[in-house]
Amino acid sequence: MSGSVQMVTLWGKQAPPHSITAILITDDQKTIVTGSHEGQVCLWDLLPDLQISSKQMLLGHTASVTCLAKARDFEKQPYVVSATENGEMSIWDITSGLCVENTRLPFRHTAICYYHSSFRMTGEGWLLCCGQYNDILIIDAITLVVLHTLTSSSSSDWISCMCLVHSLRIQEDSLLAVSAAGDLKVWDLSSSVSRIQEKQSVYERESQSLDCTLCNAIRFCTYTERLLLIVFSTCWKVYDYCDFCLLWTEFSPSSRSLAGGEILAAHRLIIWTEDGHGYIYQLLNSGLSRSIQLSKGRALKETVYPVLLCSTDVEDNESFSYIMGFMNERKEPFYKILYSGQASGRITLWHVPDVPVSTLDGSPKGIPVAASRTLQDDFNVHSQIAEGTPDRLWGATITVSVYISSLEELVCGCEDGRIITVPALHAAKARLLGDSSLWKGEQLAENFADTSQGGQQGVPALPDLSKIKSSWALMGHTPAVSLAAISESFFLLCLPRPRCLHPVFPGGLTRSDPPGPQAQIKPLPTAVAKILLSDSCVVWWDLFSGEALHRFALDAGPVARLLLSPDRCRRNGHRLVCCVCSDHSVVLLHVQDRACLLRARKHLFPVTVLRWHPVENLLIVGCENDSIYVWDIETGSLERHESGEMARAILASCEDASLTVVDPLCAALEEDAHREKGLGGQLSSSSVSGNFSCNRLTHPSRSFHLQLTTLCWAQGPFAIWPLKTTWESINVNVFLFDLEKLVELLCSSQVNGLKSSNSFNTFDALKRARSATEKKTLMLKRNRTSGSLSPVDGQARVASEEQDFGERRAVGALEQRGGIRRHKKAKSSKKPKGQPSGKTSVTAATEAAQLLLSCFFPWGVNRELDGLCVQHLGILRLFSPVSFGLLSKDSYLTLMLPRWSSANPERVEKQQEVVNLFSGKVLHLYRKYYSVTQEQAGKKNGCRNAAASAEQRLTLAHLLSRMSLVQRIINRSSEKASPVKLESVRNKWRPVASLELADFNPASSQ
Amino acid sequence: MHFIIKSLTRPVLDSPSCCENNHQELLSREPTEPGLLDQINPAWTRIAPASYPLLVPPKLAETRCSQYLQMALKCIVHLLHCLCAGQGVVDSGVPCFAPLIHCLYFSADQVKGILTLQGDALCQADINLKMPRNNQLVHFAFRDDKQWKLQQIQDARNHVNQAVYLLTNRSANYQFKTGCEVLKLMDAVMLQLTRARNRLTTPATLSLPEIAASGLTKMFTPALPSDILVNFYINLNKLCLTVYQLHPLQPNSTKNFRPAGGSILHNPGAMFEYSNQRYEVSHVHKVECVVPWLNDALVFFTVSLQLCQQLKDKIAVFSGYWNYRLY
Repeated sequence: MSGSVQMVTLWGKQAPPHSITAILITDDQKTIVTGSHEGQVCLWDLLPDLQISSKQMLLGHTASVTCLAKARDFEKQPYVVSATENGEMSIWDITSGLCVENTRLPFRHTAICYYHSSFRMTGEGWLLCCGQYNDILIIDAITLVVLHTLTSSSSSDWISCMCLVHSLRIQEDSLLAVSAAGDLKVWDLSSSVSRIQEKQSVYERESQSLDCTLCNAIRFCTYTERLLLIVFSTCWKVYDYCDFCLLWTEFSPSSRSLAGGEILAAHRLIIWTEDGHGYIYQLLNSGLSRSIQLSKGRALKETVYPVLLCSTDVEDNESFSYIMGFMNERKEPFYKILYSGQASGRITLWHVPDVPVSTLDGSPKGIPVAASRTLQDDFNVHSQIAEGTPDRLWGATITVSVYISSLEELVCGCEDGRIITVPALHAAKARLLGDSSLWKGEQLAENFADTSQGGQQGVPALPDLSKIKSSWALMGHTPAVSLAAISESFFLLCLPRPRCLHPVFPGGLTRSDPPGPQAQIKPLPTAVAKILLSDSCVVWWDLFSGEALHRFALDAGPVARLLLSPDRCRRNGHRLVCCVCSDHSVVLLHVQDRACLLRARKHLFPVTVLRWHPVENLLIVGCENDSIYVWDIETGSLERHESGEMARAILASCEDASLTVVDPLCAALEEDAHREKGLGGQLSSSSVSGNFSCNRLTHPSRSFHLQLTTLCWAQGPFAIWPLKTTWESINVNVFLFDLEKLVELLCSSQVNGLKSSNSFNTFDALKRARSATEKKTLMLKRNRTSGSLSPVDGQARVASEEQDFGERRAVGALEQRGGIRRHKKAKSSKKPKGQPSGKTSVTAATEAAQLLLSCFFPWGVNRELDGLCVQHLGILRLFSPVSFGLLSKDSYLTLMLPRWSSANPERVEKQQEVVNLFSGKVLHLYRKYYSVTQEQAGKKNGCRNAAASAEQRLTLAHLLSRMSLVQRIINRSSEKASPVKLESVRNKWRPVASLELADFNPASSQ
Repeated sequence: MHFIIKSLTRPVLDSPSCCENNHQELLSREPTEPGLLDQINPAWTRIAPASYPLLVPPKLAETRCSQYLQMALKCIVHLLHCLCAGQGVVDSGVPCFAPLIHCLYFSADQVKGILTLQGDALCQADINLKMPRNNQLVHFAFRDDKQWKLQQIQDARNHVNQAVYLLTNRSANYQFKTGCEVLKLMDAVMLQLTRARNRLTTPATLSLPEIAASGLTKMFTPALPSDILVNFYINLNKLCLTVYQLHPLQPNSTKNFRPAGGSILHNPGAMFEYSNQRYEVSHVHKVECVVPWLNDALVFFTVSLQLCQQLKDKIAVFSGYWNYRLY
């Protein structure tokens, strides 16, 4: 299934929280990969001068990331595997940020080692994993399937750390591991490859107790092939690998708990602590060589002793938890880097000198911090460049926003308690184009909910909804239900109303298409908003009239979540609202009856599950500690409290009755999806939704996948998707553009609204222009006509190879621009397929198309082209660079972070100079087009003006159809080809993308 | 499903926090083992109501908070140490989970036996089984050189050790800087504790071939008859022994062969295939005996988790108070 949704992410000024729990520098020292407590993986560029800049954020995990490791030979495929607290594993391609493979196993890994023995194994090697289970698991690096285990014959226990040993001297790869009970175990790897492949059990070769627990790292010295470094939390020890005799025990300086260590060089170690200090030791080896010769003589072990050479400088201690690692590369351009990631999200690098020495008086020398960066740093730089972005549009920061999909409106809650509704597209335009006039134009058409000053007790007076000239375009037939948090204590909920309350038909309604027959017959649904204020009362709003219909006082703590019972669970024909407060109490409201049904207050742990049983009139509340509370709604009394087995049984029994109270947004979307399924029938992604909805109950954070999938087919060509992840304070919006739907809408309007001759004239002109370049035209003609008449199908058909080769020859020189466009388009791969709604007005579609093209257009490459776009196509220059998003396998999501390159203007310019060297031919070709089309324009100027807007629309449609064509080609090839091949395929198709702008802009200039 | 819902409507419970009561009971009852319970200061577990910090001006609240935090963390660590150390020795500063030797007696109609549980391992087992068909008495015991590790206890121990490590790896005078830091720490600790408790409360669901292959069958002397399977597991505070009597199915039997999946306890009639031979379970005997320290451990888990949660709630109240801005 090839989707066509393009995503544009809108980051705020505040970076999303990213408390690092795992960190890795790739083998080429170009990328830093971090995993966070929040469950995201972040990619950072590491420049040769050791500067760090954030690149991409990979979303998809639903729990804290526990470890990262490379998943392939890095030179061949730059893949990284991540594992999480709840057993998810994903392989990411770190060049593109796509998720290559993901799975969920019932194992929690804490460390992963990639092992590949090229001459013994076929395939891509194994991931050797250890964690909260006994012994070692072998997982296939491609499919992430558990292949086998390495078992211990005695004292089997969890493995706390391990390392691979490739010893040239012994000609054997072995795995050294230390168990939680402190046993050192050695497994032979290379000699047992065949046994593992035949699934015979593999036992350890050696097992020895170290008499010390809490081991954090084990390292083998590859320089001497003698020493074994084992780091415990209180001390580190050096063993002789040959006979496992202890050579030295060194306790940690100033009783810091040690976290890890690495061998720097022969007899030189680096040790780091939990609080971010690093220490370099020299093992004085005068006695060591003798001790090896006389390895039987244990008396010589005191001749090895360490001297502290250097220690790293630490910035002021921001937080405790440091995750550190060391990158030791011997190849020349590489550095020895000690790196650390903190819970605060800061990455710190130290450049360890090749030959560390102490100061002259013998005291340890400090190593300065080489680089340090947080996500927020990047966001600050970005927002400096984009100064004046209308972030505070109404004088107050927007703390929450909800997209009401059926109305295509964005409801924003402000810090000062106002609630503002604005058409989503306008909001997007204003934000992306930085066009403040847009805001001002819409200012009157906004729904103001001014609160008067909140009292000291946090009891703001009732907002006064006076200025209402609502621009609600009454298109929604399906009532929208959504939830959002306005700061931590304000809530806004839009409820469907079965009957029309106050339908507002503002005079200045900009609707170009007449309302469909259905809309006239059916009573128009009215959305009703509710706000929840900090003294935890819920206010029920009519969104159209701005009237506060009712206030519910909860007598509970600040509300953390508002939930809505599913459609099939109604009471007196209405759905119930459930408020989960931060003091773990639950309040059940019947909004339409203006009644508070139940206040349940005795929960000791956070509420995780809510089930409502309408027949028995019971509310079952499940808490985090697996206990349940059964409340009688009628009497408001606690019926029962259970935990353990019984609690599970009761919950399971209610699950059968499918009475789950779920997140309202998801619920509503799910409903929409079901409804559409009933009507449209042909929903290819419906099965996906089913799966997600099952998963979501147990893993609420996964719900964003569902949100996305449902949004994409339930909506028109443009949608705003408020991304809700585990970030609580941050609100990130993603704009979704459905290419195919846009094309369809634009073209259908073409067919309906315009005489076909007009459009054909355009094509004639184009054809002539093309022939003037004396290139292959036949294919292109066909392409163009089919593109206009039956765009979607036509494009699909046209996606044949020979044609594109032809085009390639025609405009091979255009490659540079295509390169940029391709680059951006590569960000968008498989997307859920959109379902045309047919309701959206063409104007909206045109605006959405213009906005999308504004995002994709390579501004500043060619000034003339820029001008053309601005003047004739309505494609406007972006206010600030945009961040694209792309979807990969199983709705895993990759979002670009505000880009470093865009934040450094001089670098951009330099890049463009290079680009412009190649673009000479482009300009030449373009001028040829332009001269020809000018002639055409002269002849036909008269009739142009009337049809100008329609023509513009057509051009847009065509550009978009080209984009979707390219995308489909990419998708198709990426599905078939392996990622390595994909690169070449991409290069091959590059000219297609470059063609789009070159040969269509002249047309619009007429 | 129906009977469960029906039974729900019976007014059963009056107190929601039975766990708390358990602890009260534990505290109030005569300590059976010296040094186990008298170390718990009841004041630590009794925590002021959530509204309390709001009445205090911010500065004062801050200092109180850090004091409170120190106390609460100490209390949690202490509880965990009790959880481990109460059962016996603290080994070289690192708590050992359940190292004491316990003799456990089984007695049921068909199965009688004595087990010795040392730490996480069953080191001796003496089982008498009365065959239901011929009333013949079968006796089998562990080989002297073998121990059977109870994976659930080992995992729970490792989880508790990790929780203790998380709480103690900071230096003594470490000052927490943000509430968020404490919340994260509490989340991590609670995750480990919840897993430890869940490990004890949820036995693994094994399929019959897995039981047959587990190696437990090879531990006995005289060797177990080929038509008997045994399995040990922990369920809450009880150590359970299940004995399955099998009878082999004829290869050409007309009986419809449906292999049984994973389950804690298989019912008679469950079928499976192991080493090319099909078997059917003819009789199941399940005996269980209470392990006293497991009971205490579960209560400690509950109390520690509650303490952690209370600490989290407090911090949430504080941070809500400090972040609150007037408009």
